[in-house]
Amino acid sequence: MDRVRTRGVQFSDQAQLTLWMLGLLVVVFVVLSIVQPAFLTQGNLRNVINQNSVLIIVSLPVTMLMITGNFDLSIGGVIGMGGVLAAWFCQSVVQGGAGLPYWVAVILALLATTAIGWLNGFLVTRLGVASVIATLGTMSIARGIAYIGASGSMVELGLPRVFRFFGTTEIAGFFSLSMIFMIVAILVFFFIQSQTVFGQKIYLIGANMKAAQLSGVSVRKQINTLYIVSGFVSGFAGILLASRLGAGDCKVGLEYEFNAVVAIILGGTSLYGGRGSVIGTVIGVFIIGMIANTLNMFGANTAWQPIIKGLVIVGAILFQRYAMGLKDRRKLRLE
Amino acid sequence: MNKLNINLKEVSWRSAVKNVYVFGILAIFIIVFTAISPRFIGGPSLAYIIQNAAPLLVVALPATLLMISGNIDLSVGSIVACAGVIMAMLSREGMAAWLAVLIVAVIGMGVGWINGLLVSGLKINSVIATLVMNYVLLGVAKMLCGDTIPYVKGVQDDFSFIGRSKIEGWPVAIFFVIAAIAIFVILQKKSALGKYSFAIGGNRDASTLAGLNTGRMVWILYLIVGIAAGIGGCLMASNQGIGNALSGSGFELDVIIAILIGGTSWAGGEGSVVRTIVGVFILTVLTIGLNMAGVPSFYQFIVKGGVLIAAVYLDKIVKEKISA
Repeated sequence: MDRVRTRGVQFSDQAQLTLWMLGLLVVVFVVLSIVQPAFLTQGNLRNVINQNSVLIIVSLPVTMLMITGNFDLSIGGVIGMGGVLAAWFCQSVVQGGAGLPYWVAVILALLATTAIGWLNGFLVTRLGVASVIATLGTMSIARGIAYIGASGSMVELGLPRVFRFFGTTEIAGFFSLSMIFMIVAILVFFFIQSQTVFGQKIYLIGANMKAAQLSGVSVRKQINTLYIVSGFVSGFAGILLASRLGAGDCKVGLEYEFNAVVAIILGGTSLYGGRGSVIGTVIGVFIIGMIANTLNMFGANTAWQPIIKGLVIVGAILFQRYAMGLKDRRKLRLE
Repeated sequence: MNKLNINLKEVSWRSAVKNVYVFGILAIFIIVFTAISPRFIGGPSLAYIIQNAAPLLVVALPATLLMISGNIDLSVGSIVACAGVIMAMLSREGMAAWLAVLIVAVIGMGVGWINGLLVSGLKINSVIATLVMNYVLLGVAKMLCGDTIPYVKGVQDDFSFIGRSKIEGWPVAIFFVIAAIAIFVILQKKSALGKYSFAIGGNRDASTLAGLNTGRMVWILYLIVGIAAGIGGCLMASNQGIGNALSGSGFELDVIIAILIGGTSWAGGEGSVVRTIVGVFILTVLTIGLNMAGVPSFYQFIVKGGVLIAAVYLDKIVKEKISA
C-alpha cells in the first residue's frame, strides 16, 4: 500500500521532469542538425552513441546512489584501475605482467574494483563518513593502484589478442559490444528502478532516511549494495575502455565523475536525493554528448567543454527548480 | 542526530584529546623519518618543509572555517592552478611579482564570490557547485596555457622570490605562513565570523532563526577561501618556477586530508584551525619523508587515501571512547 502511494507521488514529479528533459533533447537534436549538417548522418550518430555508451553504463548505478542521497566520486579512478589491472593480469610474464588467461584477468580485475566499492560502502554506512569525502579518498587509492600497475604510463606490450575482443567486436555491422552492454544495462537498471522493491526503497531512503529506517528498510545494506554494484560496473567499464584502446592506461577515466554528475543532474535527479530516474540520466548523457560532438566538429578547443558543461549544469539546476516551483504553485492555486 | 545532547564540557574535553593526539602523530612521523634518513631534521630541511607546506597551509586554514560551517570547497585545486598560470602570464608580460600576486588574489576573490553565489545565492548543494567549478576552472587554466602544453614558462627572475628565495636563511614563504596562521587563528577565536561559523555548522536552521544571515556568512567564507587559494597558487607556482595548469590536481584532497587529520568534523560545527596547521605539517612531512625514503610518487595516491581513511577512523574511535 505504501509502495503504491510513494510511487504515485514520485512518479508524477519525475515523469514531468523527464518529459521536460526529453523535450530539451529533441530541441538540441533539431538545432544541431540544422547548424551542422554533418551531425545528422548515420555514421556520426552511431559515433555519438558509441562514445557515450561507457559513460551511460557507469552513470546508471551512480544515479541510484544519488537518489539515495550519496555521491560516488571514485568511479573515474576505479575505471582506470579496472583497465590497468585487467591488462596487467593477462600481460605476458616476459613483459612484467602476471601472464594469466584473459578471463581470469577480467574476473580478478572485477573483484578488485568491487572491493573498492565495498570499501566505499563500509566507509559511508559503517563509519558514517560523508560520501563525498570517503569516495574522494578511495578515488585516490584506486588511481594510485592504476599508476602502480602501469608504472605511471600504460600496460600495452605482450597482451593476448583476445584483450581487444570487447573493444573491437561488432554485431550486424552497426552495434559495438559496448553499445550492446549499454542497452542491457539500461534495461536492467530501469527494471530494478521501476519494478522491484529494491528500487522503491532507494527513493524512500533518499526522501527521508530516518523514516525509511524506522519503516524497516535496511538502509545500510541497500547503500552498501549500490556502492558494490557501482564498483563492479565501473571496473567493467574500465575493462571495456582498455580493450577499445588496446592497452591499460592509468590515466583513463579522468573526469568521468564530473561527466556522470553533469549527466545525472541534467537528467533531473535531485541534488539532495529522493528524486531521479535512470532514463533521465540516459537523456542527460546524450544532451551533453551531442553538444560536445558538434563542438568538436566545429573545431572548438576541448578546454571549452568543461566551461560549457558548467554553464549547462547550473542552467539545468535553475530550470528544473523553476519547473518544479511552477508545478507547486499551480497545485496551490488549485487548492 | 543527538547533537543536542552533547554538552559543552564534553566538546572541550574532546578537543583536548584531539590536540594531544594530533601533535603525537606529527612527532611520531618526524622521529620515524629522521630514523630512516638522519638528514631529515635540520635547518635546510626545515626551510624546505615550510616552503612546501606554505601553499597547502594558506588554503587549508580558511577551508577549515568553511568546513566548520558545514560547507566544502572542492574547487580550490583548480583555483590554485589558475592562479599559478595567471601569475606566470603576468610575469611573462613583465609585471612585478608582488603586483601579480595582488591581482591574482583579487581574481581568486572573484572566483570565491562565484562559489558563494552558487552555494548561498542560488542555493546549489556545495559539493555539486564546487565540483563543477573545479572542472570548469581546470578548463580555464588549460585554455590560458594554450593548445599544446599545459604550462606557462618564460617568467621573470622575481617570479621565484616568494616561493623559493630566502632572506638571511629564512624562506620568504614563512612570512606568508606566519601571516596566515595569525589571521585565521584570530579569525576563528576572536572574530564574530569565527563564532558564527561554529553556529552555522552546528545548526544552520537555528542560526537563521536566531537572526544570523547564514547565507551571507557562508558567502564571505567562500570569498576568503578564494583569496587564499589565489595566494596559495602564487606560492606554489613561484616555488615550482612555472605556471602549471595541472599542478592543482589532487590539491583539494590534500586540503581535506589536512583538515580531517586535525579532527575537524566533516559535518560541521566542530573543529580547529590550530589543529589543521598540525595536519598540514603531518601531510607535508609524510610526503617529503616518503620522497626522501625513495618511495615512487605513485604510491602517494594510495598513502593519501589511506591517511584519509585512517584519520576519519581515528576520529570515530576518539568520539566513541569519549562519549562512552
